[in-house]
Amino acid sequence: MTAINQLRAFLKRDYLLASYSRLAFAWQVFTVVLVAPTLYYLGRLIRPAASPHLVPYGGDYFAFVILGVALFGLLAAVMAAAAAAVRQEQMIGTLEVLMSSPVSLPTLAAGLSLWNILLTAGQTVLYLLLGVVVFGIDLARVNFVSVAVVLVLGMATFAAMGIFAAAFVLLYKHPDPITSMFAGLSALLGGVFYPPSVLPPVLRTLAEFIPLTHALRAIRLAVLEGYGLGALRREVLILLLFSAVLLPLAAYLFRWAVQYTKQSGTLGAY
Amino acid sequence: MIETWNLGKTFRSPPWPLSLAGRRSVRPVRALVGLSLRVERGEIFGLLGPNGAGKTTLLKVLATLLLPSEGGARVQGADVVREAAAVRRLVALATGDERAFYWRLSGRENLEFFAGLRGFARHAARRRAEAVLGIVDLLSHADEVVGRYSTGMRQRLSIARALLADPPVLLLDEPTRSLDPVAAGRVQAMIKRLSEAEQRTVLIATHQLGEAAAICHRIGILVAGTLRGVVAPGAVGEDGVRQRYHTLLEVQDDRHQPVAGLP
Repeated sequence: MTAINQLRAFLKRDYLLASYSRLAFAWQVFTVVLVAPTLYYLGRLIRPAASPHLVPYGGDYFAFVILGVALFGLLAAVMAAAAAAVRQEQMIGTLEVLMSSPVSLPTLAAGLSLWNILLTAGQTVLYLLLGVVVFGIDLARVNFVSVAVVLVLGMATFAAMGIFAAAFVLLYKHPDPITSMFAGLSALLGGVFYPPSVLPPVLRTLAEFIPLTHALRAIRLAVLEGYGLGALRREVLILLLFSAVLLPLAAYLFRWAVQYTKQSGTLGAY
Repeated sequence: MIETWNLGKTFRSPPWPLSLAGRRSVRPVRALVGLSLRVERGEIFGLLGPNGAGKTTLLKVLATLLLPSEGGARVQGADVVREAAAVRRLVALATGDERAFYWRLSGRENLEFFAGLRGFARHAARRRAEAVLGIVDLLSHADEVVGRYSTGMRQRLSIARALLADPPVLLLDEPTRSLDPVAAGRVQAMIKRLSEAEQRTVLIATHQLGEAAAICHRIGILVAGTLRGVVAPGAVGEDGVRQRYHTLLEVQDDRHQPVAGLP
């Protein structure tokens, strides 16, 4: 109950702070409204026959890419949220007072990230709504169980990367390079705009080590082709492995970073 | 109750690669040296000393924001290192740092947020924020954004935040630093009331000898990280405190001497 009250307090605070800059919120909506049709008209260039790489996903490039962009946006937000929030608290001078409150580290990390994640989740839903209602993507075959499982595992993996990044910010008092590097690499290799099968063999092999590759492949197959968990077991197991390894490691590093800053007296420094 | 034994804190240069965050390495500084202290329930204990004496360092160790290098400390029996989560529920720190609020939110919104972090549900947080705003006489400014507050108002808001969860131990870092004499007198009276009527333990760091002598049961004179002596203003009066303070200040600061085992 205490943790719920604490998360609610974070959400209300972030809502109030965001309400001071409604322009930023409007810009997020505007971005979706602008990007979705751009992707649609780009999709009209690419016919199924012209791209055998799209056949496993039903052949429609627009459906392929809008799912990629929407999910990548959500996972990137999950990854960047904690580090950005820690940096902001450092800069405005409230990190020490947060740390002196009786909030556990997992609740603190979740509370600091929650608002941004929910906002981006709204953006993701808007992408899908526009895709279905305006541009006619067929979602009749969606396997919701597969989507839910892959989303949870994908978010857990990216949250772990985000916690690594937050630890970096705590230690170095600097915007972290981890999330932008990892996001850039994921966008290049993970199949946001094109299937990784178009990549040369070396990059294709590298792409297999990127969690986004597996998350996007599984989500697209679950949404567009209705694949169940059995058919997606390879992707699900890989994501499970990523999250099972990365989450405890990230939690350990974050805890260590907090202890180190308390030892060195740099918790409140920026 | 607060208890410390042989408490030491040394700030060292970070090892590589963490040193990449700083500009250059610095010599280790001993901020606290062998500090043993016991503050009883309901007591107001003052920490008096010049800048850099270690007053804030001690408060931060007790608030679990700093880890001690040697020795240890307990708050109401809970160890500040091994039982840090329990300690954070027992203490509240009011710092003089004006930046420690969300300046774009009102005083009330800030307090409701921090009450939520202390576990209060929505309505309880609202009621509690209202109550502590009343205690520090800020109700008429509750809905103004903190960015428009004067320094003194932010100082009072900081004390209000410390009172939110009704903690048995209050750690106050220069609580009247930026206040005019009337406002400072009000805060001092409030601190006395919190100790006498509600039996709270108060540890208060201050530069102001007169203030310490006026409200503290005992005063620890902290110089160069060491507790040089403890005086009871009730027994010796303000002049006695002043005389003892100046005598103890004469002792040489040797914190920048090399630390054994360190380069």
